[in-house]
Amino acid sequence: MLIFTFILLPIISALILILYERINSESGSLITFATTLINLSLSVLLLFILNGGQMVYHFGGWPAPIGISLVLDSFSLLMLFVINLVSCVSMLYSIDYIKHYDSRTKFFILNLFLIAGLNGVVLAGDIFNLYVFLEIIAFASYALIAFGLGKEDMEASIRYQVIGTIGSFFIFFGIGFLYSVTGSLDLADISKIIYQSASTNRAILFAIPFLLFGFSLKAALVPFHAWLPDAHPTAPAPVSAMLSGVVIKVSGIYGIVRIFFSVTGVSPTLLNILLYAGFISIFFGAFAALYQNDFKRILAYSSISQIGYIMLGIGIGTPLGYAGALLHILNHAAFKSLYFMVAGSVDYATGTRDIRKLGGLSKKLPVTFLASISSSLSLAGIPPFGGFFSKFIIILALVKAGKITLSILIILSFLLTLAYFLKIQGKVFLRSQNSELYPNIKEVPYSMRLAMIIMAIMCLGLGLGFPWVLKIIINSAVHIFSNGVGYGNIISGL
Amino acid sequence: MNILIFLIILPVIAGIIALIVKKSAKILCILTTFLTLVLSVVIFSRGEINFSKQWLSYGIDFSLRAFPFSVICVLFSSLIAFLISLHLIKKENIKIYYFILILINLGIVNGVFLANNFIIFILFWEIAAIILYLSIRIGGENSYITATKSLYIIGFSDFCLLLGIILLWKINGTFNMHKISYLSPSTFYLLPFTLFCIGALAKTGLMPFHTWILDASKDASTEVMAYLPGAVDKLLGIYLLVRIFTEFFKFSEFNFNLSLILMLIGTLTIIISLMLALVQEDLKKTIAYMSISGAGYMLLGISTNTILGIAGGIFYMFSAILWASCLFLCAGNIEKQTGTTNINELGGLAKVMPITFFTMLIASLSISGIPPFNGFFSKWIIYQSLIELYKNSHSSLVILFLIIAMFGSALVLASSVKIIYSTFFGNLKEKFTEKHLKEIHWTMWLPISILSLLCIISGVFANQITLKYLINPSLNEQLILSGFWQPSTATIFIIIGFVIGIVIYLMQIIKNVRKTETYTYGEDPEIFKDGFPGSDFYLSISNARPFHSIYKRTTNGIFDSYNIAISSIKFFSILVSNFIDEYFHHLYEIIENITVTISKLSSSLQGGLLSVYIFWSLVGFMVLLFLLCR
Repeated sequence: MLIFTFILLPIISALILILYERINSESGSLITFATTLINLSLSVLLLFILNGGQMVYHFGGWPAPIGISLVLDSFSLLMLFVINLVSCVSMLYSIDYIKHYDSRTKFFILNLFLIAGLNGVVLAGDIFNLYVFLEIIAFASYALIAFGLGKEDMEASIRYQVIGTIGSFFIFFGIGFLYSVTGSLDLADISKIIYQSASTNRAILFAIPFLLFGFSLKAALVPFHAWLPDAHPTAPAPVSAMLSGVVIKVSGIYGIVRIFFSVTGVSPTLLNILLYAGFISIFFGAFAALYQNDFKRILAYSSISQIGYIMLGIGIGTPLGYAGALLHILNHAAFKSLYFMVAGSVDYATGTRDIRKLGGLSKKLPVTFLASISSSLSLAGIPPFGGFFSKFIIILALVKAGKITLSILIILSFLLTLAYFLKIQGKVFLRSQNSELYPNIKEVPYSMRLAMIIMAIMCLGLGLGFPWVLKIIINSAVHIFSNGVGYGNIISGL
Repeated sequence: MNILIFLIILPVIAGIIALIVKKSAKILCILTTFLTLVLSVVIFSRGEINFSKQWLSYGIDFSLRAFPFSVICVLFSSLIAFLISLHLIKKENIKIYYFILILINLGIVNGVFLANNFIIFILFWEIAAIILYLSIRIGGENSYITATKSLYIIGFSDFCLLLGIILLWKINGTFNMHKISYLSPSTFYLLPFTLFCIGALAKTGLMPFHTWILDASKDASTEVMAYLPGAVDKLLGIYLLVRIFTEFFKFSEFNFNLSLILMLIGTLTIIISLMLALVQEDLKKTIAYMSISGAGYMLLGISTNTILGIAGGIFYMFSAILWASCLFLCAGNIEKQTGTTNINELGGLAKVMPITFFTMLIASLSISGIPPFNGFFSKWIIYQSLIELYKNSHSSLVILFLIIAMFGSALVLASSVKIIYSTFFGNLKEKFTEKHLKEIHWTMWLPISILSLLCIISGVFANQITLKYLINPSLNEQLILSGFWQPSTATIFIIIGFVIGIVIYLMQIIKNVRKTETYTYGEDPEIFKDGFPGSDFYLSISNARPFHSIYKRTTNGIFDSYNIAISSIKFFSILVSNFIDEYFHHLYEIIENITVTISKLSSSLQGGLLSVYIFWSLVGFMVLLFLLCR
């Protein structure tokens, strides 16, 4: 029942808000924040009590292959923590940020559904519910991207809808193939059936590219990335933080790992595809980010690049690589959502996102500036911030796997990251010629500042507390990867 | 708690306290740096200390090791930090952040010296790079570009170093810095060696990576120059270089060609930086070039890979730190009193600032290698090592390097004569005569006096003090010097010579003094009415045929590796974003135009870009299908 709360609570809050909006159209922020805070504290609690084990909830008491179940293992828990951390902080940030938009309550209702969908995907124990929750995420984010109602917002949202629907369609196709072969929708059950069958069915081989295509589209791997640089910058800042920090990971990476590692099993070809797609994404994203002039667009391209690191880590196929990738999921969620919040604050204070028109904000927006420093240093992989350790472990894993050339190139890519973050720092915060441009701006409101400070401390804390993070969160999640299709046997007994 | 941890934690904590309680920063800085100095002397007397604590898995322990060389480096960094905080304490309008950065930097740098695990080492090393960025950043209005550039160069070298460490770990299977010395020459070592060297060279500011020091000399304050590029970064870079040669890559049959390449870099650094030093018009920039040339001598000595050469390099490093900090601080004093460091505007300061004059004179004589100061002795060891190397290898290149290095000595002398002449001799400029310049506050001349005194002591008593207590323990070996040079004896002779000269002067033995017109190089005396500016000293060199175009290009920044790297990165990013994307967009527009004529519906619905996206996604899907279902 405890794990069902993660899905139920946001939906109940959303329903309450729908009714409450008729009475008071202003409120909603506090209810949403409280909901996310409860979810966050529950996930932190689970971090300490789960201890590498599993937790299963059967709906209506019906056992797994027949009934519907929710499954929580260490990898889901890591994702659950990331989701609820980022959503809690970004909802805190929205309390004041959303005040310059209309119909605020609808914003929070949509966000609650988004959170419910995210929690649902990582907890779903059967492949069809996974698909349903993916669609909930997708529809909530379509609406949230278009929330500004500008021409640009609408265009980006429609693009995202078309491409997202194609992705969903292919995932659905893949699920159909799997179902046609195994006759089951339960993940653990499918895994067991595939594991026990003597020879690999051709239909499953055919299902894999469909699923991979769908999830890669949602994870914005190059060449499936094109929707992301339009969609993420146009959304309101807290939504961008959610989209870049969590949504692409949950609907993309989580799907890939859960379906391929736990259910169908990975082939060396698949790992290589992930490795090289990640590698291309890193460079493509970084080069493209270097060329942009829109603050949030730089960050969006940077997300493509950073997702590349995660894919690369997974694609190495060794426990060390998985550990690096998982750590980078955590770190990227922290620093990228923080960076989008910073961009939102700059936008809020000055009214522009064009970095050519900004400058010298370090004195006027001191908290925002400090937050940007924290996230930049983590992004660029500078110790003792979190980003350093995850990238470092990925490099270690690459070298240990004997891919020396690749590791040299990856280290060079750090320099590109350094370049675009220095570009932002230099043009937005430090350049002093433009300091007279915005004489009357003030530091952003209280809740936005608080949210940024919390996330900035998180960025640093993930680095300083790296050994404990590794011990408590990462190590047990790595087992999910290494166990592979053993997943079925573990889960179906519970 | 181990005593070594205090060396790291104490300054960092003091820095954090100073950050919170800003009023206490000055006094805290003086006290803590002094305490660290005392502590390092105590540790020096104790010999080797080890400390290790389990930290992470994967062989990453928090282990520290104090051995003579590292403790001497700690000693020097604490000494310089102490002197510079003393120098800063009474300066008006000083930003409190300097003290905080000095404190935190001291702790971090001590961490680098004491680390006995490569991961700990690189952690501290990178934080030191960030502090360098911040220190340059607080310099002035335009310092951000310089700071960014420094961070790029240092950041690049740090990434190289990181990769080198990982490769070394791959070869050796350990992150422990002390256990790594059993590498056999047959192992694949060239790549990690090169990467390590890049890390060390960039930090020291050697030739392809030297540009950040020059730019910093323009924008950063003189105190930061004296502390970081002048002293601490040299210590860090040479410390790493020495450990590369004596421990990490110690081979019985060292590849001689590698030595030659590094020696070539050293020699080029010496000659190019000094040729450029001759024509600078800014005091700080001239000193920066001279300090870069010093790094060239160190590299030349160490890369001979002989005990003598490494000893010479270390000796030269310690001497260079003393005189480079001294010169930068003197320049700071002059800047504070006169408001400029342009040598054309200075002159005749010897009368008003006698202490600064004498200290700067001593430092310049040391840097020029005039006996009996420390510069002479250290260069002498380096020359000896080159001669020894020639005897063993019979490579004529070595002799060439030796000749160039000796010629470099002359160029240093020329540059220092120029700066001494143009700042202290000649007539005081009119605008300064009205201002009643006077000698600066004692807290500002005391540090430079101590530094110049150390220059004298370490030179005159080289055998008794420097070699015995600093160099021999560092290398754990007894140096055998060929040739005969007793600095103390020589000093006595020099002093006797001076005394005789003074006696002759006082007794006016030479009665018949011939008086003539001032010789004006055959030019019209009117030109020199306002005095002869020091910047014109070596004008004939920069105007000479082969040099003229080279000098001109250098001013345009053509040798700046940073500029080249930046433009190529720009090129690539434009290529990716513009060319490839645009090209495919154009390609697709043709296809799209055909589609539009068939069905206007698709294009009227959405601008057309969406179809490009979907097209590419589907191409990707085809590739996936091919790869996975072959």
